Amino acid sequence: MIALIKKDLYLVGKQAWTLLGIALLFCISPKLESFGSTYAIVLAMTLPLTALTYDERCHWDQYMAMTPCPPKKIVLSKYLFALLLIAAALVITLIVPLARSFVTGDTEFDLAEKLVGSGSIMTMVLLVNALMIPTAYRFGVEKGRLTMMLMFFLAFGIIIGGARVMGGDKMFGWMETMPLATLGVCVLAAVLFLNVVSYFLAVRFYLKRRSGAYD
Amino acid sequence: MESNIVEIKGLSKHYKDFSLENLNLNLPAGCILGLVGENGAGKSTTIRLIMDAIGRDAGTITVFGMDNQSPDFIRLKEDIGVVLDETYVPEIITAKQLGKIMSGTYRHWDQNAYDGWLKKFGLPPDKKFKDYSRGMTMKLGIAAALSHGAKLLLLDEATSGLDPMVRDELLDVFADFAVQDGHAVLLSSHIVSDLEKICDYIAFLHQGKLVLCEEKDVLLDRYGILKCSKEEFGTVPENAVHGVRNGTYGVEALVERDRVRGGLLVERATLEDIILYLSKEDKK
Repeated sequence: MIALIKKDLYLVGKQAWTLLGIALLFCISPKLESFGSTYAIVLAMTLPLTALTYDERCHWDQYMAMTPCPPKKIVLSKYLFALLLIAAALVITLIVPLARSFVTGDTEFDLAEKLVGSGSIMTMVLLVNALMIPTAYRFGVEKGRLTMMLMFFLAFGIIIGGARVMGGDKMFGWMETMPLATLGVCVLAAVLFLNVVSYFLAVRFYLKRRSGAYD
Repeated sequence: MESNIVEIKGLSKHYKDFSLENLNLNLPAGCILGLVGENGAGKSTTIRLIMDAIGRDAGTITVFGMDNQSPDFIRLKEDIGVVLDETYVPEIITAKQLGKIMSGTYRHWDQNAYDGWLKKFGLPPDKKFKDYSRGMTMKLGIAAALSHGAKLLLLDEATSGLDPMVRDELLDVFADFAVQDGHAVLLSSHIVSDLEKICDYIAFLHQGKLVLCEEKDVLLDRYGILKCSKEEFGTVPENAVHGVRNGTYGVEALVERDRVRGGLLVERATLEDIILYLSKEDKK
């Protein structure tokens, strides 16, 4: 498993260090912090896809089929790699500004606010991964990317359309009465659950792709 | 008594445009089996089926006595070194990095052996895979396959596209591997001369069907090339002939030596002659 994550790191190494470096530099300055966060999100969202693209191009799945590495581990390594990148992005968007506030004695720094902001974004990235990884195995990386975007827009369309038909208050009013922390935990749990479902789907698609069922 | 390391019985796999039909094949310990056939004959499919990388439609495959669809087969892959027709490694990976990945993949990965093979094959460890020549990529695949204590080597067109010197070097490596106790090699290729050099058994696949599977020496003894006039050819029993080429001045035919009588001169056939004649005969 570690070997597979290592392999993905070899693949995205240069890109990852460049994005990390830029994000880090931006996050050090309070005025440019939002740019830093953007770079961190780009890092967490695009690099798993880059690794999948490399794998697909060289038919890495065919090579791995000849080794004693179980397909479940191969797929799981992709999720863990994506989680690793999310963790790196969180460190940059959360820890760097926190450290800066300690060093500069910035009293206006609000850790809770920052936690909610970064946490929400990273939960969103987790959701994207849950959609992206199985679709990439099912349709290939390029078609998978398009399918994922369509699914995303469709989901938002349903939410916005539903809010218009039912009324925003009826649909989302319950959220206002719920404590923010509880809401956050619920959303995170739902997204994590979706990742678990996504993993099992991804394993299934991976095996079918490897056997040539989608060729 | 020789035990079989690979046993294939009644194996079938169907695709939209290609079918592998009722394949029966054994690979005894200590032997090199050459799987020969034209492009698309089913050689790669057979190797992928042996490794259970694709599902079969019928038949059984056992490797070291274990059904390859049993849950434990994945662990048995530790003992099998595979070189595919291309080395399916991401282009920006280096040989050194591949070694690190494989050391986490195989329990018995031998880094010293891998480094030794890289050195022996003259492969720069820090050069990216995309900058390797075809020969270098195949050598890298072979180096990886030989560095985890495998007892069985499955080589899919491992010598194709390589110059004769490199091919010869690799054939020596495979021959040395096969003579070790309990080892065996399945080498698929359409370069028949390579197979003739090192194989003990030859299996000929043609359009998804096994045309023959025989000891190489038996094949070379059994068949011969008969060159004679059309009149003389008329005296040869029909069941002795396995392929004919009619020329302006006479006939050239692949015949079973034992069945040709009457003082006709039968020359020794090469494996390539046998395969070519039999494939043409099969088309008829």
